Amino acid sequence: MAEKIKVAVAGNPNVGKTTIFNALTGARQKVGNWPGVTVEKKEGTKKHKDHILEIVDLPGTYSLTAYSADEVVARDYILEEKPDVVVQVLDSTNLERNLYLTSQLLEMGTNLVLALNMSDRAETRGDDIDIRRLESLLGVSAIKTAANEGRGINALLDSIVNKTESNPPLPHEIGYGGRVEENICALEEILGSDRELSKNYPSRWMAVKLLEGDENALSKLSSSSIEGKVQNFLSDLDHEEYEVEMADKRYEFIGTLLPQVCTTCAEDVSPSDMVDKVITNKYLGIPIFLTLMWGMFELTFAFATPFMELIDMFFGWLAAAVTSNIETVWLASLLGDGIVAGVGSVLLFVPNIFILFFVIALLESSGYMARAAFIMDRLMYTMGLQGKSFIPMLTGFGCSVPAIMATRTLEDEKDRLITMLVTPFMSCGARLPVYILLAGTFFSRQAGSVIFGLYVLGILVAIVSAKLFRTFIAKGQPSPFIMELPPYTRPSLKDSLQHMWNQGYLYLRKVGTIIVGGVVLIWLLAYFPQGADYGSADSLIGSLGKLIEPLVAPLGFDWKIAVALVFGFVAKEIVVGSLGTLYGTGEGEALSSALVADPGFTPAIALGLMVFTLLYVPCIGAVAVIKKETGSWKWMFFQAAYSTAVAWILALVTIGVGNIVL
Amino acid sequence: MEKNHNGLKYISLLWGILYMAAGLVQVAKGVGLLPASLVSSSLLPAELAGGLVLVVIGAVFFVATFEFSKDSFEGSAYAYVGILLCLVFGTLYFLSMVADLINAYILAMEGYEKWTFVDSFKPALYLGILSGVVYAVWKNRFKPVNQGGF
Amino acid sequence: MTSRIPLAMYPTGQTCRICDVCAGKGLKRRLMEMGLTPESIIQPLGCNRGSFLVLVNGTRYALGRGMANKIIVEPVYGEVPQFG
Repeated sequence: MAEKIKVAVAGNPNVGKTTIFNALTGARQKVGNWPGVTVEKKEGTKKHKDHILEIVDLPGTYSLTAYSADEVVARDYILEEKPDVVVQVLDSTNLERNLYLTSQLLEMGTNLVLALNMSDRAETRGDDIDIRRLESLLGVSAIKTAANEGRGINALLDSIVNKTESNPPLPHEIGYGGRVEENICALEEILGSDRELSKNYPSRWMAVKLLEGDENALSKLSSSSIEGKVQNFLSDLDHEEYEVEMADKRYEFIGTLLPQVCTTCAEDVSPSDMVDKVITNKYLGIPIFLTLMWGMFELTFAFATPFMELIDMFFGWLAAAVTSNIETVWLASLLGDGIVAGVGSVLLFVPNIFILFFVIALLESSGYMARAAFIMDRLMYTMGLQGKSFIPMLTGFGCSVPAIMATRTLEDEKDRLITMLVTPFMSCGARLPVYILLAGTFFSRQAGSVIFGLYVLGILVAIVSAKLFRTFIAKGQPSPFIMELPPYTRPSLKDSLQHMWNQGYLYLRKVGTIIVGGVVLIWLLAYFPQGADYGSADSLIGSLGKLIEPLVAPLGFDWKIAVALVFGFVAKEIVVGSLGTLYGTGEGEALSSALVADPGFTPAIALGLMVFTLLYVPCIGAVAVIKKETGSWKWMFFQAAYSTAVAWILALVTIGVGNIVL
Repeated sequence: MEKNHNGLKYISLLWGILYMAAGLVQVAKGVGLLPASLVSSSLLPAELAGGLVLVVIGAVFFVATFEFSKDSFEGSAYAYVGILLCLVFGTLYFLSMVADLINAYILAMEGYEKWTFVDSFKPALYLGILSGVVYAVWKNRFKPVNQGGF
Repeated sequence: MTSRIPLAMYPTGQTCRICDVCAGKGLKRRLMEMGLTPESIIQPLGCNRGSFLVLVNGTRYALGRGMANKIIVEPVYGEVPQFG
């Protein structure tokens, strides 16, 4: 009988946690979101010796103090779900800092297995780690691994299984000494009087957290009988003093432990530092960075063309096959004009998005991304943000949804808010179909430059907006920038492909759900009422268009564009699909000729429409993420209103100027 | 050590000149300073952005040469980054050539009727191949200081 | 005799030791959690338009100027090998 074991993988950032997780689970992963927050949650299962391991990848954290969304997620999972085993991945070359998290995991009374990763690197350096000694001192299991070479993975699986069969550990206690210890005891006593509570949370751990002024821990008491007592007790204390003192004690504990288990060789300046000198060179740093960015987009577009052509051909064939083989007129229309054409127009850009995610994964796993953040820090500072904000914004070129989720690495609330509000201005992959159609149709020879110009416009609007928000809304300085630079590694093709697939899968799922729904809705509105021509002014969609036309009439947009933009809110790709429906032409060449033939659709209008599409309210997915991540309707509505207003104004200017110049 | 650096120094200088020259010609053609047909419009195309990339790579090699001439060991780090950039962009142009190849011969896409192999044989690609050869031969000389860490 | 100055004003390339962090306790603890513990040796690796690259306890960090201004350091002589 297979026994299920719940395993959580924890660890500092940049210790190879993802590689270990991938090696443990293989390609069978499930990506989703943690309930309540949109921090990406990865799960996988692995069968090992009659046991089924259900492995969850916790976000990378330095500690479990509830400092950022990541830490709360990791901590709550351990507290609430009570995994059978927690695997902490450590960087063998930097045990001191990694053991800090270990000390916190031990305090929580977890059943802990340590994976001393990057042991190859430590060995090359000449470090000698006595893991038996480490095991006996901490009461944990420890395994040396080198995940990039696949070393130690089997041993790790063995020891996870063995761990569940051994006795549960006693919560490890760090003696804090003096007045800290007195207060912990007093608090423990108060907490112990509530049976329910002390059953759910280890009392000592709770006492420690409360003393550190952990608000998240305090909120867990909110429904208990002793909340008032605890509040009273805490109100006399100055948490700030305790916080640092307790962190100090933990390091002291590690400091006494470490010499007994390992001899470390002094770290010298390594080749990687010399490469850093070049890459962050005062004059060459930014050019090299821009070069690589350009290369990334070049690859995204150039290498995707054959795949796009194939997808286009396939859906063209499918649509034709459907319409000609299904006798029922309405059904053929729904499937052919509606679903196949609509979904096809969106799937067309999947190669672009996959390649972009792949390159971003390469940059991230090679270690370059952190350097890029460093290079960009100065520039980001002038726009009122800090270097780390750059990474979500770059991801924003792929899709705003993961980009907004990526802002969780920003600890400062204001930095995070501003980054979330401006990230949608980075032109995401979904907007590209619109540019390709319109720029291709109206600016054939300069299409490339026009599209490039739109990307630049998006970046400029983001910069100016960030500056405005920093001046008027989230006043103050960007929080001081500090970021760990992971050592350079040869990026693993497997991990990058896995990352690409995980991110791309979320996109595909969106296509499968929201977009299919949106497309069907458009088709229904265009098809009914009975008797009206498909997609004509008499159809429901036509009436809707007429209704909202006045809103965009000053820009020179007609009802068809108005309708397309409304549906673009579902997903921006749909702008193309709905124009296709409204002009009754489907996708591709026919739509292009129809647009050129429409006297109301001038090049200036096309340009304005592209500007509007770039800037107006992001798609429903992105808006929902903003709501979730900011936790407030206010910021969601603010973002939607602000971006639409900016879009309206800039589109007006564009069309005005365009009418004169073009 | 000394000997290694001498070889690397001249390679850096040569590569710096090659990339810089090819880059500047592309840029000049791109902005219209030089006629696009000069030498060959496919082997040295009019491409502004692509040219700038080559100029940046050339500059990295020039800095390497400069550092070597000061007898600074940092030169090898610049040369290493430089050669990596050559390889990265060589690969990139190679992939886009593969894409063009598929477009032209397998999918017979519009606009590719007159495409030939030479049209995608851009400077970044042939210089990249050359760099690949040099790197394969001199792999150990390029890696700065020691073998570890990469 | 020690002279304590912010890291941002420290001459590049010379090793130093963290004496203090002039910041709120939250940030101070954060730095400790990230491995920048008091008394750690800092080896500056480079500086780019006001941002700093440093090596502390075997890990490399990027620091913005703001952060570098908050970290107070004192010089260390002859303990850690110099660049080169």
